[in-house]
Amino acid sequence: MRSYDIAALTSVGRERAGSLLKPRVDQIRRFDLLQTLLLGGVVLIVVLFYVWQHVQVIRLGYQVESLMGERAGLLQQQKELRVEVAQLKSLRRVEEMARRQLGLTGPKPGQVITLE
Amino acid sequence: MPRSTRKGSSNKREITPAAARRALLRRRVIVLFCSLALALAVVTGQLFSLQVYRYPELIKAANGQTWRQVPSVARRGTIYDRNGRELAISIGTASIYARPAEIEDPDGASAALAASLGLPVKQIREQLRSKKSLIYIKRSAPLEEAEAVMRLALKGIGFDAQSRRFYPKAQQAAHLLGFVGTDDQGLEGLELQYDHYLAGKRKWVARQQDAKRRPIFREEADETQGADLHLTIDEVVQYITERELEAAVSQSGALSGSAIVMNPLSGEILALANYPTFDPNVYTEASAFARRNRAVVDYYEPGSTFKVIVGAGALEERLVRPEDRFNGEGGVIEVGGATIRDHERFDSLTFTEVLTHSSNVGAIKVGQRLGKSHYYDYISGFGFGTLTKIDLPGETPGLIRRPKEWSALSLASLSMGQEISVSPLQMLVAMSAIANGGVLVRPFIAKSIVAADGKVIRVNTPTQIRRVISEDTARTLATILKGVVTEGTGKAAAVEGFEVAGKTGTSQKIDRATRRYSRQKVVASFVGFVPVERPQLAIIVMIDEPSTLRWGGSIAAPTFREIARESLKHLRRSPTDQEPLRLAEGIRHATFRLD
Repeated sequence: MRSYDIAALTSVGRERAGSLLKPRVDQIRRFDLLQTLLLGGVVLIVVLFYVWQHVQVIRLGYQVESLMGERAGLLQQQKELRVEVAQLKSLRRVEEMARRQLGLTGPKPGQVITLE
Repeated sequence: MPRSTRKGSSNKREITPAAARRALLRRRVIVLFCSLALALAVVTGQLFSLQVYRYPELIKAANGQTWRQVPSVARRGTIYDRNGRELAISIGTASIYARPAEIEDPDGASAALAASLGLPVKQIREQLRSKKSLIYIKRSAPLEEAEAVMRLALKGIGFDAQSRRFYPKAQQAAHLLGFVGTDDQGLEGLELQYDHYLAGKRKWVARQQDAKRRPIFREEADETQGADLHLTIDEVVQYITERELEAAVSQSGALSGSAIVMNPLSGEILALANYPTFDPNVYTEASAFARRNRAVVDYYEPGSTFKVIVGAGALEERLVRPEDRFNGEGGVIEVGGATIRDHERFDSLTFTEVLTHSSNVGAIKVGQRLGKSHYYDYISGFGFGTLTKIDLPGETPGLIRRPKEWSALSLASLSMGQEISVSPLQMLVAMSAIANGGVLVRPFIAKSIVAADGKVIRVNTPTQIRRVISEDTARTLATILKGVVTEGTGKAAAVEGFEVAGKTGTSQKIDRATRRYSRQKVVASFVGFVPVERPQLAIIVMIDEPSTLRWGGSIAAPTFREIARESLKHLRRSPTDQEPLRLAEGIRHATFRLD
């Protein structure tokens, strides 16, 4: 009866089996890692998108506020210009300028001819 | 590790350096993992505490810091004349305030503020050293000044956005427009009358801000601007009226004067002026007398202009005809123990001449023919003693006593316009009834009210109050009053190319010291309309206490003429205009009679 070193055989078998299984296990591990990385990447993208969105909203908020301020300023300027125009069109001022600076006078009776 | 090495190895101390390194590395990994796990657990716990356990409390605190309730600027609506010219506008301003307790360097801050605001340093320093919690450094400052202060970034200085009322035409239509107070509330005139519409509604809006208090978001506020007011006033007619009135008051050395121009058919007021006047931009600098709208809130004895009323009543009751003759009594008559004189001697006058020459004796005789009761009915019917209901505050109904309170002299006095007080507006409305064919109309100034979004909120339309005399009577009276201008006391009111009807009046004022009619103090007036056939304008001019040119025909009538001529020219009315006279419909004669 031949005697075998069971331990040696088992060790060899294991090594052989191990050498056969190793690529498969590595493949699975790589796949798992890739999966995890992908998932992590997606989560990171979602989180970054969420943060970016918030940053954008705040940035746009500043822009909107700035534009609203600009609009209010322009409306204010428009109002002030309307006041100035109304002041300059004051009939008292216009008549005074016409009489003093331009030497104009009102038409006398008979100088006005109404055209029908 | 090869199996052969393990087989014969009984001594555990024989560990290879590589194995030792791996074991060390494993321990370190375990320690690191545990540390990270612990740290993660702490972070997770803290996160849970912040996001779940303390969430309500923290979100409230965060919102309190980032969201603030700020007031929106409630801007008053604009007031326009009938042609859309701005008479009152509100522009943005800012009130600058300080919280003295928060000011770190009062001296430096006051110097910087004084330079930006153009105020004395001493005044600001005293304010900043005050123990009050909040003080206003400058109210209604222009936005440029507020921006300059904002750039200083001083701690403890704040801003309150407001609006300021501005009257670009200064004195023009001042008594009509009125003015607003420091809190932008209407205090006088149309600003007070239509304050409910003109005032914007101040609302609180939420605003998000960052740590530096820069705004990030703001809630859209609902419309906070007040409605716009469109008037019946014509800016040019108003200017002409004010200019001519000022000239008349100055020329005659009078105390004051009032003038009103009205469309006698519709009741639209085209111009209303008083002199002395004031600038509503700086109304506090004017006296109460200058600010008072005397054409509406004050009354006077109308004098001879009131003879029109007794004449209208007598004609309407068919008690007189234009050609009926009256004994002029040589210009003197005794009534109720008093002697009443004419301004000249008349022996005999027709009814027409009583009015054209303004005979007191003749008017008294017409009044006696009409009688107390009828005369009172016509006085009341023409609107004296009651408000015209013009849309201006503080209108006076005038003073009129009931017939049972009259003395033996009262009927005679009333026939020549004494013992009764009326406002210039009442007198003009009565004359307009004669001009338009016998219908009393309600005078009004606001044509429409338009919201900021363009929606028309209210439209004031002409209102006929009642018919006071028939169309025939009105026409007869208009013809007689035309004679006042062509050959009577009102010749100076004639406008070339147009037929003018009107009546002069010169009434003595009561001397408060003697309680008798003064010989020096008079009110000179003229009230009339033009053109007679197709009336476009009804005008009253009242000059109070002229020291020269003391007669209605010598100072008020020429002023009427100038206002009428220039206004007709501006309104492009020619003597040949054929616009038909629109008479009131559906109003029966004499429905005004009082019991």
